[in-house]
Amino acid sequence: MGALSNFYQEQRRWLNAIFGIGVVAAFWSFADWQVNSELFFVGPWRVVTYTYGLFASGEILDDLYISGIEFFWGFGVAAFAGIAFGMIFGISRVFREFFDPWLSAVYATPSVALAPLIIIWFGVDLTAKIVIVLITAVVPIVLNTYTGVLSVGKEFQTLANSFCIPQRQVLYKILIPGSLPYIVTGLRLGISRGIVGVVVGEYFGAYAGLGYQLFKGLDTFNMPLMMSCAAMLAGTGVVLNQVILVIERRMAPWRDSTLQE
Amino acid sequence: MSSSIQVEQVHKTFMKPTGETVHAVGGIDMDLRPGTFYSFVGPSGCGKTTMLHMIHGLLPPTRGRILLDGDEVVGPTPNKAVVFQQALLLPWRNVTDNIQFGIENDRGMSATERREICDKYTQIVGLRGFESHYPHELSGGMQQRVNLARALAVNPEILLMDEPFASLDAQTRLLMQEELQRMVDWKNSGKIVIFVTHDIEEAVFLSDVVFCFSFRPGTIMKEIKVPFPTPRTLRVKEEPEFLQIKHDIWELLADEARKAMEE
Repeated sequence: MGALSNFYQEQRRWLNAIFGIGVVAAFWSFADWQVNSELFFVGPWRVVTYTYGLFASGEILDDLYISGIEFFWGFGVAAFAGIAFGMIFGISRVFREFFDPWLSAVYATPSVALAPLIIIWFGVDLTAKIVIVLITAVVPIVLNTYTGVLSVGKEFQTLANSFCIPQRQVLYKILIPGSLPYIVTGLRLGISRGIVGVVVGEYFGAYAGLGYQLFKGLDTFNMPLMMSCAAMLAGTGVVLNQVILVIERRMAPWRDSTLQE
Repeated sequence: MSSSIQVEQVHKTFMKPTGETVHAVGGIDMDLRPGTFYSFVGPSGCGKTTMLHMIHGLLPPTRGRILLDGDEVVGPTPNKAVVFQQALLLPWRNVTDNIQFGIENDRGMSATERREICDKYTQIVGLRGFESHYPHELSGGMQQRVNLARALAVNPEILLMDEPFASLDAQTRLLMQEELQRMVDWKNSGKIVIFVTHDIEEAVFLSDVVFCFSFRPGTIMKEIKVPFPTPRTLRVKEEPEFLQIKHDIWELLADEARKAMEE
């Protein structure tokens, strides 16, 4: 009994996660058994086998590649630009007051509302999708980075002045490390929103992509394809979020003990 | 190398956001000599911290001037260091890296020298074995030790201490007072130490000279020399002469403190 409870304590996070997945999968399977029609619903096991089939036949690889490219460039640029602009927002009050209304406007506008415009301006090809991902993902990164910079107390500026630290070093010695936890939050939100951007972008005209396949499934009453695409999108989000968290833990060991519990 | 400081007829006026002007410091003269521990003691809002900031160069005086070895103070320089009231340690740096904060820009210093200096002051403030700890893993007293070591590491001629023990519990505070004498060692190193506090006993215990500040606009009501030889032990606090000095300062400050309270 003692050994078992020790094992549970040590592996608690994983065991709880697996248990949670198991319970939901059970309900999901039960619902599938009740509905009993592949037109309307498919069970978890079918999603897994169907996804495996898509990979085995290779028919999904192009779509993954296209969506991956869209996300990679869109989110990549959003991350760099977002952190850079967030820093400027945080440091310069004039800049912040000047652009804040626009930032809030873009944040509040659903990407579905912007996407058609961008498709018209940039065409149906990759560029438009990258721009949509960029615009959806960049705002939370900017917002969180600049909140982070503001959260670094004025007293640390005094500290730097007292020790004659040049102003440009304040950026990487104080402001960037001090706002890192916020930047990470921004990046995680950016990932989720970027994935939404991929799907929305592909909705308004595309030749390939996970979102494209999802909507093709909708048009052809292919429920397994739709659910498989949705599962892959969700999985990507989970994996990327974990990657960011691992990076944070490597870069910010001082937060380790506060994060763990 | 040791420095001296002259403060000549220094005034400081602030503008409040409401537009009201506050006359914080009203004409202070001081002549500070190397190898001496000075305290500024007085009620809240008597301009003692403002005076400290002006000597440091963080604030310019409105009138008058402050000379460091004959040159007017215009900003922080590497020969001055501050021990802050709140430890202000960078949470993302461990003890060693926090202590190193003030010397890592010194180009004339090799990495080995830097390491040696950090080791030396880690030892002096009694934090051996905690080098790789992060601030959140340290007690308040230990954080203040890092705060002190960071200031000492730049080997300043002038050490400015802004109520460094105010946030510590009473027992830790007593121990730190006693230990501070060994840790800073101003007599042998020729440093000027300026210690701001509103604790009269603390001021008398630590200082060679106590400056008693009046309420706003802050002026020096009295400059009191404390005759006890250093280093002192906490036992000094029970001697009749110590109690007499403490009592005299309180007599002097009581009215000012009352004014501060009614403000």
